[in-house]
Amino acid sequence: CEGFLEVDPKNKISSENFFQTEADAEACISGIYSVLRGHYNFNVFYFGDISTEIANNGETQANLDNGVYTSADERFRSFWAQMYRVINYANGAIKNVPSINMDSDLKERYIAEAHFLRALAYFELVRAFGGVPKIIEPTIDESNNLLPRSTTEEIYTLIFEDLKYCEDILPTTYSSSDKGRPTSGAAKALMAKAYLQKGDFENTRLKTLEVIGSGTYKLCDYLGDVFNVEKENGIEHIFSIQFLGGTNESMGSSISNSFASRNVEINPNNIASGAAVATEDAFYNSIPDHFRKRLTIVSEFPSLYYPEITAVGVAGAGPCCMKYWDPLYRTRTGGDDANWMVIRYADVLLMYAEAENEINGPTVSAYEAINEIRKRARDENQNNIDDPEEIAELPDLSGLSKDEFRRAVWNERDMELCFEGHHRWDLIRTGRFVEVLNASGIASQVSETNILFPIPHLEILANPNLEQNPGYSD
Amino acid sequence: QSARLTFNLKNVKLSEVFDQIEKNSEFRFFYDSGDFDLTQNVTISADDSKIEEILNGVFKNLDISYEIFDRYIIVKTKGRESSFVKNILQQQQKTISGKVTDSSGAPVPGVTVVVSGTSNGTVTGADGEYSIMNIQPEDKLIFSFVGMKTQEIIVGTQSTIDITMVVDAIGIEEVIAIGYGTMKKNDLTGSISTVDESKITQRSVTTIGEGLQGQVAGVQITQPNGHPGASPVIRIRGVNSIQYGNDPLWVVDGFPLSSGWSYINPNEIETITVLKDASATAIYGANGANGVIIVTTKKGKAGKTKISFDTYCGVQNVTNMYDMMNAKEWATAQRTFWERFRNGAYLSRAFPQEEIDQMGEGTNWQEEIFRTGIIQNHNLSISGANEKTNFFVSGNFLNHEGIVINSKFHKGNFSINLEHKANDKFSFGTSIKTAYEHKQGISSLNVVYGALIMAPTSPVKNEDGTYFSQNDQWIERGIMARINRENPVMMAYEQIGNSDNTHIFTNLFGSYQITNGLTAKVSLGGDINYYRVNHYTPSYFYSESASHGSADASASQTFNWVNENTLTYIKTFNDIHSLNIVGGITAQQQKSEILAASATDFYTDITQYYDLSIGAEPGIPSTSYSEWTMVSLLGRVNYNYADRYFVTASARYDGSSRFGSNNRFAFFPSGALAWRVSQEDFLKDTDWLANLKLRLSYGKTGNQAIPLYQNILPYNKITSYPFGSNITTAVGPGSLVNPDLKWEATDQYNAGIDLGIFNNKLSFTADYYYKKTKDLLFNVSVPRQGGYSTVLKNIGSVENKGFEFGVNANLGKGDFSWNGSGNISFNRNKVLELAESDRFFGPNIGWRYISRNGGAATIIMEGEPLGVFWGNIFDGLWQTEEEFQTGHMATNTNVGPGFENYRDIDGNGIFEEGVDETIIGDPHPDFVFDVSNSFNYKHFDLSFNIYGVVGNDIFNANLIELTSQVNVDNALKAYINNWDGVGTSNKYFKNDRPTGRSGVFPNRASTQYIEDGTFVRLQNLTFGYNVPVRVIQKLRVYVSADNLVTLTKYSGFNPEVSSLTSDMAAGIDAGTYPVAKTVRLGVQIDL
Repeated sequence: CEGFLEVDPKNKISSENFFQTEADAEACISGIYSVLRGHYNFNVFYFGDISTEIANNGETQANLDNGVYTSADERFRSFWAQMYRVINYANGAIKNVPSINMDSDLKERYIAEAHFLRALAYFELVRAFGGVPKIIEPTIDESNNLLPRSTTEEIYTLIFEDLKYCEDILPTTYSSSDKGRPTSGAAKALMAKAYLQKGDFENTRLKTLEVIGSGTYKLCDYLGDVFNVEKENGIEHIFSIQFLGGTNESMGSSISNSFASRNVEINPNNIASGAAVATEDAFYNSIPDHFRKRLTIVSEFPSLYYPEITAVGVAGAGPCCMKYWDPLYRTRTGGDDANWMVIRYADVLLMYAEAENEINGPTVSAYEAINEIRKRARDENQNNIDDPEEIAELPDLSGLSKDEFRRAVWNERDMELCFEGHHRWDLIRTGRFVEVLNASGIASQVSETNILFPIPHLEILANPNLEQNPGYSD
Repeated sequence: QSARLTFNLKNVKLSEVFDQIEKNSEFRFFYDSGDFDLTQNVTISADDSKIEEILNGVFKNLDISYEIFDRYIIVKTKGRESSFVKNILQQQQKTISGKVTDSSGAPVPGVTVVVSGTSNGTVTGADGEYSIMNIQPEDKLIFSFVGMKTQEIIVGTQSTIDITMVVDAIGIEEVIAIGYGTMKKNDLTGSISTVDESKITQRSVTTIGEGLQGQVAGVQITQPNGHPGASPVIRIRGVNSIQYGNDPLWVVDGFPLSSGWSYINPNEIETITVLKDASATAIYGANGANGVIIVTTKKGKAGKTKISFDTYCGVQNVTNMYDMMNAKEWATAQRTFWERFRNGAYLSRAFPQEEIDQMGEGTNWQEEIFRTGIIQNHNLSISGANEKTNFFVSGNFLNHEGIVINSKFHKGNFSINLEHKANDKFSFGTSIKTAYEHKQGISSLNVVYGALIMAPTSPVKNEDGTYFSQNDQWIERGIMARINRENPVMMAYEQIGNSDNTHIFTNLFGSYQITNGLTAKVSLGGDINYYRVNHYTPSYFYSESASHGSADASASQTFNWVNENTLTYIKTFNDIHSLNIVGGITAQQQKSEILAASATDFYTDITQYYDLSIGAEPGIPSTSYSEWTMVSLLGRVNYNYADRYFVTASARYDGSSRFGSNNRFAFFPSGALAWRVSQEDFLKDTDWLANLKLRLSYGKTGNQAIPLYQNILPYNKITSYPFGSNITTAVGPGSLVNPDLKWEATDQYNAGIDLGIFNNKLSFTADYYYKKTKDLLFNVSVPRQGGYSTVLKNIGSVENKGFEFGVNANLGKGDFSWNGSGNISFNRNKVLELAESDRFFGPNIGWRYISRNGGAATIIMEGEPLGVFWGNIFDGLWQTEEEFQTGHMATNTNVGPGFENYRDIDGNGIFEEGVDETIIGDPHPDFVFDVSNSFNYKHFDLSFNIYGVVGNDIFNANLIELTSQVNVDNALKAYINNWDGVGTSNKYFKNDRPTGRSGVFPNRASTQYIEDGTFVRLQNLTFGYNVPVRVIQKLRVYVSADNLVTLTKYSGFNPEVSSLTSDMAAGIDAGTYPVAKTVRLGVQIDL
């Protein structure tokens, strides 16, 4: 009767029959991307922008939005869980794909992609929590679950190892059916971001120079194209999380929905769900009026740039960000089409300008980098010529001291990259976090403690080997 | 008649000879007195002789002849015609009649009178009288009636036989079904309760579970919601398993059911046996841990073919409604909120004051969605038997329109029981039961909750007849109520949710008597279930603004077969050693498949889910498959010595495909002892003591109701990922595998006493039990750093212990009789051990107003009952700014005067989220009791029972929204007196939202929503009248009411509520379809 008790789970793919073919390898790599999506659909801008003085969560301001950090906040736990899920999927691929009998170049590339994605996940974790448990083997029993935290340095070391491993293996570009996978340039750019977060300007400068020097990327001529859902994965987009609306599987995002104005005709849902993101007035008012501001942050409709929005009136709890505007988002199932840009070329230029200035002072190439961005930011008529009225709105920078230049780059980053999930980390790495937030008066006072997030309460409960960050109760 | 007799009589009178022969044989003498001299002396000497030889000897020298008719010897003077005697005998072959009365002399209608060994029989009429034709003097009449002792009378010379039926005091010879066999009730060693048909059908119920509620000590039956067709939840002696399978095993006519039991027609039930202790359930091994309910359905009985028709019609109403704000009150409160919020920046969302001044009551949404429900049931059965074959066929139709508009349930049943005795040794039979169930309005939960929170200012319909939409109101006027909340009346009528359930259950069995006492039985049965669920939401619903109408349909089919082969040996040696041995081998397999499809974007709402291809956007179709198998060896020995000492031992060895090969087989033994003290010599002559039995048992049972395929690491398809327009399939590891998974096992000890006094007119049963369930399977939260959130583990142990008491009394005098019974059960549940962590949160209850602790309101914690409520302690409201600023919540920036003061439980001076939490309530009752009474007087019967559940808490999640800020949703009328300055309220929050608080609050479980769930109710009251009609056997009309009166402090619709099916989140009321009160009028006719 032993045979009678052996039941074949006909509808299951299992460890017994997975990791056999090239198709299995592709599916398992796609799995990593798929789980990565959750974080970039929401938490990324909640942490990066809403938790700072530039944005708020509309009417439903609470917790991080108000500078309140508690280890019981579910958002920290969902972030933690999502990232470690990515890491486990990547670890599984790194471990199991090598033994698959398939095209060796493709196999190598898949493994390199897994390294890139693992590095990205650890980078998100380390800048938020500090040192986290370093897990590099797939979880097959409970041993990984009880590992203690590693140091910040150890995690960064792993990130750089992973990125160094993949930067030469990953291709510089992809054919259209693979667009969205990380390139060699993406690995270098992510390295630059990680070096910059650590304050290593030397390596930031080297890595950004490699990206710039490769000639693979440049700024889109027209700023609107950067955010046009029809023109995703373009020349400026170094690495984006891919969202696709209008399918019967939920591959779309809710980013358009989250950012859309709370004007009732545009987005009545948000009034009930309370999930909208809006610009803090003080930040909005601090930006001089220029084309980029008018295009990406709208305080009142109608807007010249969005003729399809016929609603009239104020935006709601504050001016709204139009960077993720998908005109079809309300009339289609399966979510919005807007990709999330993890790194784009403008970020690389500004990172270069900042690192170059720190090392060599405001050199010509540093000015060129920042002014290239400003030039596009004022080019409303898309003629690629600096018309006098455009220059008047946003002139080129020149003649600044090192410190003035430094602040000019920070300022430029705020205008260019606001609502793209960078601001919090910029404030932290430049040492301005506590000062700027407390001065803004939009939230309760924060302290040095809040530079790192608390380790989620329930994670400490589950793994007693985890130590809480200083200043937080468990 | 072929018996041989031995006589040695010398010179005795002839009359003495007749007496001696009658005394020592079955022969009877008939003669005309005076025909011959009975005093003449004769001598016989016969050794082992036939009657003819003896009689020839006796009459040899006399002028007497004789004739033998069967056992009757007619004696007369030679040559004389004895017409008188013959006439008597011939007359008696024709008809016999009589009257059946009870001990008080009252006629007993409905008594079956059968001529033994034939199909000839009848039933007594309303006056207790009967008459049967074609009777032979040697015939034996059998009088039987449920609850009375069966009597057998030889007709002989009598032409009238009046019988006094005696109450069978607590079924002293009652034979009841136990697993894989039957047993006399007196011989039981385990804790087993029986409920017979009359208890269930006297008051007309729609499911067996409903009829069982309150009837058996130790069995708690809860109706978690009142949707027509909802099945009750049954727990025997508490909850053993944390996460998997606490449902008892149902065995119908020997067949273990696999796809639900609630479809079984209650009118088909003959008896129900509930096996509670492990000595009784261990024979079911890995399926026995949660107790076993054995259902025996009706068989045809010898006698005239019986036709029964039973019909009732009833009405239902909601028992209680919430007292909500009316339109003016709500609009006023809503305006106050928007005046306060952000200093009136959004005041335009409120109704203008002038408009509010004109408002009145507005819409009472509860009245709009509740109605008088209608329930009707018709049952027809035909049954009968002769000496070889018995049959029972029945059909039933139920139509139930529930108390929420447009909610419906239909059910049709058809069944056959057939048995045939081929010869003395071989018999076989079949039983077939089919049912079709249709349920409509299965999303009524949202309708009920919607009716609570829907703004009373909104009308049901617009002037043009279309449904009013709060979303339209917002877009057109900027007036805000919850705009994503659909109009509940529209939801009830227009949002389609239907399910269809088809059951086919068949069983074929044969038994063969190998030798005297040894019987082999083989059975093969199949249980097929086809279940279909369909939904459609029309395109004009707010929720469909992107999908433009969505439909889905899913179907699952399950096939389960069981083969059981048993050998039974029953023998009594030397009149004092009784043995009953059963052994067997069984095999079982189940396969299930599911198919689901969906579509959105319907250009028309006409075809709904009936044509998914109309939807322009097809969803992803899915199928799934599951299978499990089980093989078992089982055995049981019952031995008793002189009906005084009883021993039972049983064992089962189960193998299941659900577990890895290391833990695939398990052994489940049990043993029990009983001592019938009343049979001992020193008590045998104590008249008042009819029965005294002491019982003791131990046994081990298992639970295999866990998810399948837990022993392999699955790779699941997850949401695909697009690279440009190239969509790639994505796969990832599904769950962490635990290679050491094993069975959940329960050890149970039981001690009991049965006492019957005054000829068992008063009887009493008490049991104490202790159960320990270990190796509990639980989806344990694991550190998420491994990439998983939970893993299935055998983590710990739970105990249940308790007392059960039952009492039963019968009294009768003259035309009056009374039966009273009562039971009370106390169960105490405790988590003994949880490995690795001392606590886990219960499941996410999916209630949007709870965001703490992963959405759980309950906790599983060592030393506490399973699933106690967990949260904050509410200490009223902060009254002044100063009090708040110096208090323990000063650092909580989103609180303030007029808002909640949650206790600083650890006393460290600061209220901390996630830390200052504790146990705030217990959903387990202290005790459950039932008192039942039935009275009969002449043709009238009256019965009622009172059912109570005492000491449990309910977490009324509805109150969270109903007692907080009025910005979009309605609130309780009592909330009008919310905090508005120092001392104005210490209960209801200020109608405002503190800065820094997200939209919904207080988003937690806390003591202000915990209510006492104790209730005592008049569960049923039935008054019946047996109309005395000569031509038919029975015509009873009755009126019956359920849940007529409920005494409770609970503020919700009904204290009998549990919105979630999980035992780890019991006692939560979250917008549940309420249990109703019902009044029925019925007629029962037997032909």
